[in-house]
Amino acid sequence: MRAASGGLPATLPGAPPRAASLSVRGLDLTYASSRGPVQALQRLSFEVPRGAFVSVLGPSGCGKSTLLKLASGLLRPGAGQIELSGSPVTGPRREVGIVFQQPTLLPWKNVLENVLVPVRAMRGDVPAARERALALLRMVKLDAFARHHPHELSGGMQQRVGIVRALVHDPALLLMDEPFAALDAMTRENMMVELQRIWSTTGKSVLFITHSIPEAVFLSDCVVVLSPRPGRVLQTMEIDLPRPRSLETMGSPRFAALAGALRGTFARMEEA
Amino acid sequence: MRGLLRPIAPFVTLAAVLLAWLLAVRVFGAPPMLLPDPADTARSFRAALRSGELATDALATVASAAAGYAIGCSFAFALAACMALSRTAERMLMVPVMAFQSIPKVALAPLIYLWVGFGARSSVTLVALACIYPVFANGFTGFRAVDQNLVDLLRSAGAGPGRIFWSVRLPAAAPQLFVGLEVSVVFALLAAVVMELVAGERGLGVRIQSASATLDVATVFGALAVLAAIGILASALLRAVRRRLVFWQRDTGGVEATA
Repeated sequence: MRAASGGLPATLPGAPPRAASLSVRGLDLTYASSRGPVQALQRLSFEVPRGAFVSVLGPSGCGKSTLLKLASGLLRPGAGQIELSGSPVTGPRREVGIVFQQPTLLPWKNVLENVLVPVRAMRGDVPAARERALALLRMVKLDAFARHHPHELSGGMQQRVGIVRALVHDPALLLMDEPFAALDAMTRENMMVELQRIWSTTGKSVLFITHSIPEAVFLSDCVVVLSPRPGRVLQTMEIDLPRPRSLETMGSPRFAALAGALRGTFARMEEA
Repeated sequence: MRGLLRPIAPFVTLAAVLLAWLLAVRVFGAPPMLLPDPADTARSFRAALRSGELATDALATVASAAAGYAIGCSFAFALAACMALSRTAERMLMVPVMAFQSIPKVALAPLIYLWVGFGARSSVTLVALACIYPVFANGFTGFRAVDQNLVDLLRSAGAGPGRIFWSVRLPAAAPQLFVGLEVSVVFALLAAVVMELVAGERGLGVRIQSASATLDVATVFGALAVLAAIGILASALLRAVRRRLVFWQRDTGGVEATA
């Protein structure tokens, strides 16, 4: 268990971080399209242990984003079950925080108000959340920009605001849908290091969706590889690289070996 | 040179039009019955201003246009919101709305005269009908075009459709709503004058019609100038409000620059 190490005095005074386990079992999802039913996910099963960072890695169109909607309770599966810390997910759950591929900020609200959007939507304690929001913004070094509007921020800064917004209501699970896919390569690498730091500071469980092998290896405790549609689990790989990982880690032989193994899985999938 | 010309540019065009008018009358001898002398027109305009007739008529037109505009736009807003939020409402109402849209609203003027009668009430009615579609169409597409992820974000926080509408859909649709509101300003003036031509008691439409009947073109010109001024003023007012409310759209050029 990782201890919350500084940065968040407001609601986490040395208390153990709020983190949930996510369990996905036998998930099936078929949706109707203009060309008939499409099976998006097939008998999908995996686990995100409490406090773990798990990536779901797959090619485009393997139902990764669908999986995220199912995990957040926005969509109901055709068959199978999703459990958050042992209780089945049957509708939208406030214990999750979502980060999208695009920052998805409200252009008419300043950074602080954007971060508070989920709190206002759940009619939460806004003054207390404001303290926490400012602490979180300090953690990602954006506290000086609290009164700025999104259009005054760079893409990487906007996405950091998106991550802070997902953390503001102290969720137990962070769902991230290719959050760095829209950023340029340099920003993306910095954001990977940043996310690792956020994760180890907050101790949240993370389900991270990506199509980038280096991103998955760098960030994860465990990588779940999905097949093209219908998405099912091809492989589950533990990543045993020591933490904290730095950009130099990406040059290590162990990193190369793990990334190579995942690439091999994709290559075999192409042949099959 | 460009710096000097820029502030006076609109007046250059105005001066050119006046000059052409002056030439047409004084040099090319256009019949004053059809095209009065600019000086005569100005004199008649001043007289109408001084007597207060022009102001009374302008006020009457503005009052019915504004009242109809408020009613029509409010109705259109509610209609767009209902249809954007409910698929059932959309299925029930889309065909009637489209059918209504394809009728030129001014063609309804004689019918409205029959049903509502003479005077301001009929003007307000026609204006309201004319203002509905632009606001409805822009509102409906604006409310629907909202980023689904934003909606999902609020849904996952437990927000209902009403809250999502007020905190996300409405502000996100504001730029488009303003497009509809600006188009409707033009339609409102048009409808107000048409109805006054058909069945008006007072107003600029009535003024234009009675002056035309006596071949008093100078008075017609005066009324038209006031109509133009009202239109320009109303649009400018609306644009100023939009710039204040939709402030984030002005600087969007900066997003690409910094990202």
